[in-house]
Amino acid sequence: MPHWLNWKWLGVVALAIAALLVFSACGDDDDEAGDDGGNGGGENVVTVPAGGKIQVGVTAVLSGDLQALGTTVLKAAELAAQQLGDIEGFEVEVVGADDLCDASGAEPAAQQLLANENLVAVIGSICSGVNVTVQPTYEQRHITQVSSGSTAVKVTYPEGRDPFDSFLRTVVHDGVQGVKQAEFADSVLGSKSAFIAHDTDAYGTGLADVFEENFTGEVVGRQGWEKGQTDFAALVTSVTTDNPDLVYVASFDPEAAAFLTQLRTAGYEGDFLAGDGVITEQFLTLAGDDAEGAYLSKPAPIEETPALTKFQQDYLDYAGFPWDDQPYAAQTYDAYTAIFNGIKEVAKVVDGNLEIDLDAMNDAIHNQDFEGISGHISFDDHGDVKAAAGKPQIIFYKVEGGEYVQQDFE
Amino acid sequence: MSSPPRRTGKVPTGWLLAIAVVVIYVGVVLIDDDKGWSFWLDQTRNGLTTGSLYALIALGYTMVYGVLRMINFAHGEVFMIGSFTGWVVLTKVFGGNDMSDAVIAPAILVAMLAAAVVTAGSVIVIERIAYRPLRHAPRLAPLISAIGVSIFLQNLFLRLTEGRFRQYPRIFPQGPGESVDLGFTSIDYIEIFLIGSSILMMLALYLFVQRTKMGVSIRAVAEDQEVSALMGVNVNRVIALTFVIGAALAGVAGVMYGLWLLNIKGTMGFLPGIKAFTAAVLGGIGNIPGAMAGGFLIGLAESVGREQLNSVFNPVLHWIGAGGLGLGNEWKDVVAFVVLVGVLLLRPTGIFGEVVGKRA
Amino acid sequence: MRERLRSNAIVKPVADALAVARRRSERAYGSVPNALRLFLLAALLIGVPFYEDPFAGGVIFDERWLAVFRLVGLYIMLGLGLNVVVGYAGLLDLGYVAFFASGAYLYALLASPASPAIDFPIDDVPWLFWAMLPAALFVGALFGVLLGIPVLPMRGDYLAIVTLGFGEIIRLFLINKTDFTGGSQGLYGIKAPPLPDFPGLNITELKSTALTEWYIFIVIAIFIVAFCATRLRDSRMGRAWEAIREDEDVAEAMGIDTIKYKLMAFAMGAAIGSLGGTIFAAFQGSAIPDSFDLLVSINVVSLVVIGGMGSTWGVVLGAVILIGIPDFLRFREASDFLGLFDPLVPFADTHNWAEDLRENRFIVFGALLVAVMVLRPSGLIPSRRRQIEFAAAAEEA
Repeated sequence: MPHWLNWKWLGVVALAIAALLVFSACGDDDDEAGDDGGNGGGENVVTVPAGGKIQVGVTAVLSGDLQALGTTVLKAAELAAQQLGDIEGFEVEVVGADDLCDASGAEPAAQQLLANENLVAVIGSICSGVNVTVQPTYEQRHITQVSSGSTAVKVTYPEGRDPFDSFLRTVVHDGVQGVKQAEFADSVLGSKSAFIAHDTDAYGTGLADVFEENFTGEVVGRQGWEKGQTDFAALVTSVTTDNPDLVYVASFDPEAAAFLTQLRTAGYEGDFLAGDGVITEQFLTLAGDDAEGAYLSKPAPIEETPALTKFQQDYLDYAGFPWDDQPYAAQTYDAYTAIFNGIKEVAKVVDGNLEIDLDAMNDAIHNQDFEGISGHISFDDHGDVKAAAGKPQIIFYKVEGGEYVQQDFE
Repeated sequence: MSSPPRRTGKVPTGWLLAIAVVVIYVGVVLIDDDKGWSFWLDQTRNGLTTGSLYALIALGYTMVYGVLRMINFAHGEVFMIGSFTGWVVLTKVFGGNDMSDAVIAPAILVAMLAAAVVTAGSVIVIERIAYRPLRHAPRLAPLISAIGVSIFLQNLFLRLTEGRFRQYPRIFPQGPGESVDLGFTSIDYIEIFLIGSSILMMLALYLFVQRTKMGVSIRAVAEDQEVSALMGVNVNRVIALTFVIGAALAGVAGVMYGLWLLNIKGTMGFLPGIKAFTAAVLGGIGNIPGAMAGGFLIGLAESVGREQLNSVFNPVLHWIGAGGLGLGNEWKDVVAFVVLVGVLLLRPTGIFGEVVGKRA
Repeated sequence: MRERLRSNAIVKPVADALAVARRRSERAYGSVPNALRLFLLAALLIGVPFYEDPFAGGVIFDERWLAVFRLVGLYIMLGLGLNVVVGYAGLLDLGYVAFFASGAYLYALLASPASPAIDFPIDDVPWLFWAMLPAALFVGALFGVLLGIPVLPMRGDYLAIVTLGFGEIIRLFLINKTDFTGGSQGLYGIKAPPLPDFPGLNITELKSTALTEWYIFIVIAIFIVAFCATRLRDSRMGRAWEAIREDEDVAEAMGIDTIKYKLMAFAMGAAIGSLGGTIFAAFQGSAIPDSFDLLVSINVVSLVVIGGMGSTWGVVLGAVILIGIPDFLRFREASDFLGLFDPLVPFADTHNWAEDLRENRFIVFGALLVAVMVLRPSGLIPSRRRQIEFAAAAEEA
């Protein structure tokens, strides 16, 4: 339409804005209502009608490059819902939304979940970028998020404001792990020098930062790679030239395994230490013999309890692939359990309908204290999972004979 | 295609550039003795090995661009398809890691052949569906169509593999000791295999284009489609042939990539694809030995070049009190892209000539 | 192939009927005066969040819709900007995300408390966002010229690849230059820009959660950008661009300063992209490098090309199809709607195919790009002038 705009147009916009003012003068108060709603408890109550389902959302990356991780979270949540069952005779439905692991996919996914009338809580994204974008949205709507995989420190320690009441996580953040790893390298491995390699994602850089800050030996080099890289030849040459006591890796299993393989192929014989993104069965398969002697850490003592064994089997049956291939499955189960318990404590049946007070539920979730699959679950002021008394929060393993063998380290 | 550089009576600038690169390379190695000779030799081997894969993929770009003046944006995905084909053959047909030593060599050969056949087949389908109808369409249409094919294939394979890596069996001997000792340095068998076979394939292709009748018709179509059609060349067939040759080479490169680096994924083709295009431009589009040289140069720029920038600038920066340049491995893609931008800006004809920058 | 499709017994009557309907509606539309037409359109769009459902009560388009509309609106803006470069001047830019990112980081570096660039986030300055809007335009234009100068001699595919490389360099720079940009952790916690006090309006700030306000803001911004862009196109500069697009050498011979006008195209396009970036960072409350990958550039180019290069309505349609529909597919309503077609789908009883479609939308996206290019290489709504050109080109061929 070549001439559809002309100077008269400015007047048009003015008129349109005037129309808008008229519109909004009539009906804009419903929008602000939820904003200052902290005072009246009655304001934030979800009423599930008889025969309806309670809804718990899952925001996760379900398409594209990272879909394997997101699918794990969704499957684990669905399994948990199936196993934990009803609340007061009301079925719980898990609703998934694809956040693309990307800030621009975050808000649409959040709105899609929030449009479910019986939504009471959400399993938060494993992607920190998504979480920092939508935290204000959920906070405003009084919907509690419990994330099972977002480990960036900033998510519960936001700069320039208090932590979000509506956000908790069942996974230990990078700060805790990075500090412990540095201690482990200093005291147990006795490393004098370390080379830090990490992926350039938020997870890798965050963890590497914390380690670098706390490691007392000399950091002889620090280099990164883009996620998905498999050719580490140039990087390996840098490492073998510096020949450090320790190579520290903050990344995920496929890249770490490929890197370690190429490192050993090139003749590197020093120590290798990596974190929770790496410690998977897949890592052992991928790295094979080269994994021997590697040190790995992960948060929360996933002890060989009967519950864990049962969960592994159930997960395999339900999802079709083993859970220990993927991080976050156990944490997701525990996140769901925390939400489930929270709902259960505050849900009341009134006239055959189920009433759930969202703020009371948020308090109830904050006060959870139970043995989960991934370890003991209770939360601190920031919504982070607390260390259980007398138990280390980070456990170290060494690969021996193709298996992870736990190391003594407090 | 591959017409010799224009004789202007002077020494070709391309060779001057090449000499300059070598002089800088040796110069920096001599200046920076902290790292030692072996570091630079190792980085050079790494660069050549990675570069040989870029080179093989670049041959496909250079052929197709030379004939059609079109960037086959999906060429990186063809490489990925080849890699997955090889994976299927090696793991499903030959039993993966359990295969006995005797069948390793034939298995690799079969995998490469299968990859070449499958990629050639898929590229024929792609060309027929997505490119041929657009041959006379506005310029941007085939490019967008190629981007569409690329996105389609990438996500199709991501979906098929649930977004995970797939592992090649470790059948090619790799590891400490699996190398040839040259005295001053040693070269791994796999590196010899990669670099050697890519040079051989390039030579074969060069001879094919220069000496055979089909080769002549390819060069004719590259020069002028309409006139060669008048001279009785079946243009459609020649175009299909260039696609097929390029795809087969990329497919073989895919298998070699898998044998070397073991992990393959649906998104693996994108970056090598872009870098191979850079290599093709660097060597002068349409120039077969040029594409090869370009591939090696990009590989070297990523590994050696990046480190040399550190070596040259860090002392200066430290001296004036600024922090180091710190171009770690994470900057290697930036280096490749800067080379791409730089070459197109300063010498769009590539090092070895062939004027296309403006014709495009 | 198209001819064969056109003469198909089933397709032909449908196509003919559509053509008649289109001609009639165009005639009816054409009889309405311009100003009134625009007023109606603006009022219609701005009113979207307030439409009420007469049957079920409540608003028709709830916040879910608005979240998607806001994103579609942003992409329409980006599309309009790139349209200047690609559609008007014929320069294919695959690195448009660079300008988008520069606008976003320009604002985020100043406004985010996580910013390493400055120690004192000036997020308590109330007019910061409003001041950054013109600043973004200016910085964007500057970036556009800076990129434009070196790539001036390049054409077509080469330009595409160089700009693609430039876009990737910017993204990798944002990720790796941690001490300046905050790296992959991103910049977040940007406060909502306060609004000046309108009488009768109960809104004091543009919170990132205030979807209605953001939606209206973006609609207004689109109108302004579209207005400027079409004025540019019909100006002397627009005609110069057109000449350059058709044949640069001839244009130069005719005395057109091709360097100046090509740079102007880059600058204008970049300025709009950068403006979009600032708005994006403000409504997300964050700027994270992952949001600025190649897919953004590809999306914007694709929506311009699919819609029809040079066509304003094409950009709108392209954005709705490429950005809107994949998101709408996630809605319950979409599943219900698609469910109506179950009887036609042979595997509907075993597969939730609406769900499959949603999960595989990138695959569908790729196939769609190919299909549109093959069936309608000049886009869905080609600009009128271009339609004529293509017809002429087809006759020649």
